[in-house]
Amino acid sequence: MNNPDDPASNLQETPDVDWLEIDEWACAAQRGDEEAFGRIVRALHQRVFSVVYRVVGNMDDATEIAQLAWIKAWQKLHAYKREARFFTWMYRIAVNTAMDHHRRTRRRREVDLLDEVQLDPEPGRDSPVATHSGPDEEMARRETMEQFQHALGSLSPEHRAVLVLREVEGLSYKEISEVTGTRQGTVMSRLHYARKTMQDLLKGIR
Amino acid sequence: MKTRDQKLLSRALDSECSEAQRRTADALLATDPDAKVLQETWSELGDRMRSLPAPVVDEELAWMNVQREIRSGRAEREALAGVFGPRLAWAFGLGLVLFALSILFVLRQEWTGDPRFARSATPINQVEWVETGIPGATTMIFADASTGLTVVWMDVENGVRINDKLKPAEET
Repeated sequence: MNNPDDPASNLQETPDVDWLEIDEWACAAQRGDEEAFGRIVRALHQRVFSVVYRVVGNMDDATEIAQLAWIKAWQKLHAYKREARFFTWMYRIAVNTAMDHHRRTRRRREVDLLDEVQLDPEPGRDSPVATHSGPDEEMARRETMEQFQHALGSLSPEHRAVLVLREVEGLSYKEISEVTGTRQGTVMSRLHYARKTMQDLLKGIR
Repeated sequence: MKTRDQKLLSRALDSECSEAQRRTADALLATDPDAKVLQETWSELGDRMRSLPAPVVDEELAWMNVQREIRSGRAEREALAGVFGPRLAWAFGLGLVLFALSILFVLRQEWTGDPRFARSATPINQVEWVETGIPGATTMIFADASTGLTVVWMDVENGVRINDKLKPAEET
């Protein structure tokens, strides 16, 4: 569990992102400093992309949506108020763009992350894939992961977004409510519903 | 297990509850085996989500794409402002001045009382059809109030003769 006194504790554990520095760059970008904005994009794009990818479940769409979200952020920088952390503001744009995309396409996309995933070739970065397992174990692991992906894909984007923001990004209810534009009570309800649904869908799968 | 208790466990898992709620959740976990299983299942769910692979993207390439879009958007806006902006401003300004002048011209006519702009008097000449009482006759009378002249047309071709007695218009 995360430290309740520090809502962004999970995010701040990431060594290569200095959130205060990001906020400073955001201020510079607000004054028209394009290079400062570029530094933010380079620092946060992977995170923004990952959130969008887990919400829309499609590599091509996620690539397009994440980049579109950055363009929107640049265009709306004047509206960014410094009392909020930049990443919550940015996540809000990204999640809203993903939701808009979903509403436009109106078709349930099959989450097929395993076929698209390009695992991180850099040795220093965390990789969730075990590298020293036998073929049977590897197959079983892939099968389990696929079932999990399908269960995740069957959630609505709203529920998926809340679950991703909480479990993967480690955002607090307050931050999630800021990102999704909903009340904290709604966040709590959606999280409970998402967990319960996933639990029901994954019954018997280990 | 009640939904209320499940929601409490969900909040407790996220460390998003008050001290009193925390105590309630701990008591529930200590006494109800189902509650413990439920929270463990949800905790494992979170672990699995965090372990899901996500494609690694090229941040530099992403920024290049974003930067290109930003600059092309800015260039388009500048081009629009540079080419059409001043001309449109001129046309708009000129239109505004012409409109204001026309309004002033109309108002001046009203305010100055200049006879050249005086409204014409109500027409005094009248043309009207009347029932003459002569069978088959179609008559038109033209009365000029300024001269007192009255002209009467009678349809001779329909058998009306000039000496036929004309019933005065006032009587009709």
